[in-house]
Parts: sequence; C-alpha cells; structure tokens
Amino acid sequence: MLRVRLSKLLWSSGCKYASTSETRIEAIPEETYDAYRQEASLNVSHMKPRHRIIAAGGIPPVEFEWEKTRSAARERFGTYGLESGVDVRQCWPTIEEIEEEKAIGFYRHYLEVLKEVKALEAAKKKKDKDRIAELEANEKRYPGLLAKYQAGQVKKEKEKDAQEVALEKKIREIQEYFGYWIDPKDPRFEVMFQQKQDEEKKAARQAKRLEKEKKTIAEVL
Amino acid sequence: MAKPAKAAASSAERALRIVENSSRVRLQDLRDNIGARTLGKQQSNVHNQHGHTIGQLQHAAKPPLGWIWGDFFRPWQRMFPGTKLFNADINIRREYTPLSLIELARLIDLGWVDQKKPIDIVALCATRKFKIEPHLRQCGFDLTPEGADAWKYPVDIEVQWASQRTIAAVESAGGRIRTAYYDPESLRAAIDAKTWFQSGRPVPRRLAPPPSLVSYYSDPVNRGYLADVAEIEHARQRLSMTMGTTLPETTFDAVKHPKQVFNGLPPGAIVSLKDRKVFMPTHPDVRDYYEEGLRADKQYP
Repeated sequence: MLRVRLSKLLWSSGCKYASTSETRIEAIPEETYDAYRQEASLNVSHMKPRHRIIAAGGIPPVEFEWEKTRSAARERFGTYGLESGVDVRQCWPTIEEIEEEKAIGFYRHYLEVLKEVKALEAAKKKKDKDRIAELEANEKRYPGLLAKYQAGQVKKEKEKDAQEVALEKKIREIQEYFGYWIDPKDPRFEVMFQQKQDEEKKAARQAKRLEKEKKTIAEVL
Repeated sequence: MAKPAKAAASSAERALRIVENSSRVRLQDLRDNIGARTLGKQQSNVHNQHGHTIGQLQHAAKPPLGWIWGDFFRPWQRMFPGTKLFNADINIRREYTPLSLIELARLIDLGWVDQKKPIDIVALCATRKFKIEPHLRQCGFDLTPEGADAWKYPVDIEVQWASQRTIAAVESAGGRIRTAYYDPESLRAAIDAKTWFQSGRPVPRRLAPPPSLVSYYSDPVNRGYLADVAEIEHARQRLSMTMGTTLPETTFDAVKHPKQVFNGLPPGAIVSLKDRKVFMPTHPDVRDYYEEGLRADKQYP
C-alpha cells in the first residue's frame, strides 16, 4: 500500500529529476526516500503490493478493469463486507433482470403446475382404467369367440369343394412321385403331371403285357 | 567346413545320434529350464509410480467399465443412441448421492452432524465429506436403508430421495423425515454456503420441483415437503402399521419453508460474513421477486 504510493511518487518525480535540481528536491524529500529504502529492504517476499495487502488481511485497491464489473463488485462486497465500500444494492438482481426472467417465463407458478400435473395424472389414470375395462370385457368374450372361430375352421375344412381337394391330391401325388414340392401355378407343373400320367400308363400297360405273357406261358406249359 | 550330417532316416535315429554326440550328464550340466527363474526388471522411473503412470492405456489407470476409448465428451451412449430401452435417458437422468443410515449414524457418532439440529443438505455438505456437483445433474442425497435395523437417532432430516424402509426406520426411531427438492441454483448455494455468501450473491428463492417431480414431492407416501400435513400424518400411521413398528410421540420445530434454502435465512438475503450482518432488499420490485408465491422449476428432463 505504502510502497505503491511511494513508488508512484518516485516514478512521477523521476521525470522531473532529469529536468532541474530544484524540482528534485521538491519531489523526493530525504525522509521519504529513507522510508522507501527501509520498506524495500524489509520486503524480502518480493510480492507485488497487491498481494502484500491481501496477505496482510487488507482490501486490495481496484486496479484492473475486471474489478470494475458488477460481478467483481459483488464478490468484493461478499468477501470484504461494508468496509469494501461497494454499494450493497449492486448485489441483488436489477429490475431489468427480474423483468427479463419474468418475460421468458421459465418459472411458472407452482399451483398452476400442480393443477396441470394433477390433470395429466387423472387423464392417464382414466386411460389405464378404460384400457383395463376393455381388456376385461374382451377376456370375457374370448372363450365364445374362440369356440366360434374353431368351429368355423372345421366347417371350412369340410366345405372345401371337390375341385380344391382334387388339386390338393394332385399336388401331393406329384410331390410323392418326384420327391419335391412344386407350385401348381408353375408351368412345369402341368408338364410334370402329364409326364407322370404317361409313365404310369406305360407301367400299367407293361404290367398288363407281363400278365398276359405269364398267362400264355402257363397255358403252354 | 564341417561335413554335412547324413540325413536321419527316422526321428528315433536322430534322437540316437543326438545322444551319441552329447557328453555324459554331469552335475554342472544340470540347470533350470529356460524361463524357470527370472530376475526382477528395473522399470524406468516414469513407469514405477505406485499405480499412477503415464502413457498407454495398458499402463494407465483404467477408465470406468463400459467406457470405450475415444472422445471423453462424446461417450458411446451418445455416439450410438440406437435403443430406447437401454440408457436412453443417460444424459438427462438425475443422480442422487446415496447416503445410508449406517453412514449417517457414523457421522452422528463422530460428531460431524448434530442430531439435535435439523439435518439437511446444508448440514450434510458442511461436513465436507460429500461432493455434490449440480452441473453433473447430481441433485442431492438418497437416504438408503442400510443400517435401518440399528437406527436409533430421533433426527429431523430432509433428503432428496428416500425409500419406504428408510422412512419407516427414521419414523420408528422417533424422527421426522421429509424429501425436498432443490433447484440447481439453490443446490449450488446449499452445498457450499461460505463460497456462496462470499460471492456476494443473495440467497436464492428455492423453486418448487419441475412437472416431472411434482407428483413425487407432493406425495405424502414419500413424505414430500409439498404434501399436506394431515395426509403425511395419515401416511405415517399407515406405514407404521404396514411395517409393524410403533410411533413414539415426538415434537419438532416447524419445517423449513419450501422457498428457503438455509434455516433461518429468508430468500433474497445477502450475508456478509465479515460484518456478521444480513442485508434484505428494500426495493418493492426486488422484494416482490423474493416474496411472491412458490414458483416451479423449469421442465428439465
């Protein structure tokens, strides 16, 4: 604190020093110079004056631009109290800030929110209740519906028309004969069916001939 | 140049040839298999640092389980946000520091917490044994029921989350428990009051929970601080009947106001620790701002 003042004094007087000897005598009295030298010899920590003040428990002077901001002033008040000389009113939000927060409308009234939440919960509860009621009703109807459906399935099976049955039989036969399934819509199906019929006819004819031969042999013998 | 050995006809012959050429086995020929004994290796200094090492992952302290090496600020949950079923809300989920009853009992036993005074997040954080970071979505304490069987302190406690077993344990010991919400700013003030006061900021007005938490904190079953007092008493009786415990007759001071962060300090107060003084606003608009009805926090998740 003291040193700042003195060094400033010395610096300002240092310019004058070069000009005339008269001003030099005015700027630095001997006792001041002694005090400065004494203080400089005592400062063995080589701390800056600001830090010496802080270390001694004092309030550092406002030196830098950032210290003039509102947040720094607040902090200054919070740390050093009334002695800091900061106006306490700076610590509260300004009217503009309060207005801005209100205008943004982030923070609604609790009762309003509570009402909304209650309404939402009630709606959800009602939805769940309705759904459960619906499920219960469905469950009651389920056995009857299932029986009806199964009966319908059986009837359907019976009522399949003859043509369809024949086609199914044809498909099965072809599958058994060739060893693999073939789509009835496939053009090869008809060809294969024809081939199968031909082969069967041939086999039948051959069997007939064989029987005839056997008969003749038996007759001859 | 040595004459090349005649190719062995079989492995047996080769073995025989080896045995023929080898010397007799003497005592000095006996030695360990290779690698049977190893000498300690002098690590370089940087790699010999008692668990703290530099460099590659195989030497370093390991990242948490589930962590995939990469950008720390872009974890894999965020890189692959595929499924809604697994950790979908990991980035918005609230965290509550677990505090078990047995830990709390120990804090009381060792004198870190005064059981005669109301125990809230301010008192718990003043022990400097917990670290709550509001910017990591940590919202306070979850009082867990470990040690519920041995719990015997009739405390007046306020936490942010509590299970039914915890509530039953506290109440059957003659205590009072409330679950209370602290919005992030209030939480920041509450977890470090000294720093807050020294920053020169006024004590914030505590906000009511956001819509997603309103139902929890207004539920008497959870002993929510916004629930009706009569309903809480009813829920208390019910829980004691369910748990088969008895409720001793106890009286406590009035609970902290929902807008208060610190006991005995109204919202809007500026505390000067140096002067040991509390300053209140006098401007009508500012006063209104702090004294108006309870406001709810903004919807956050």
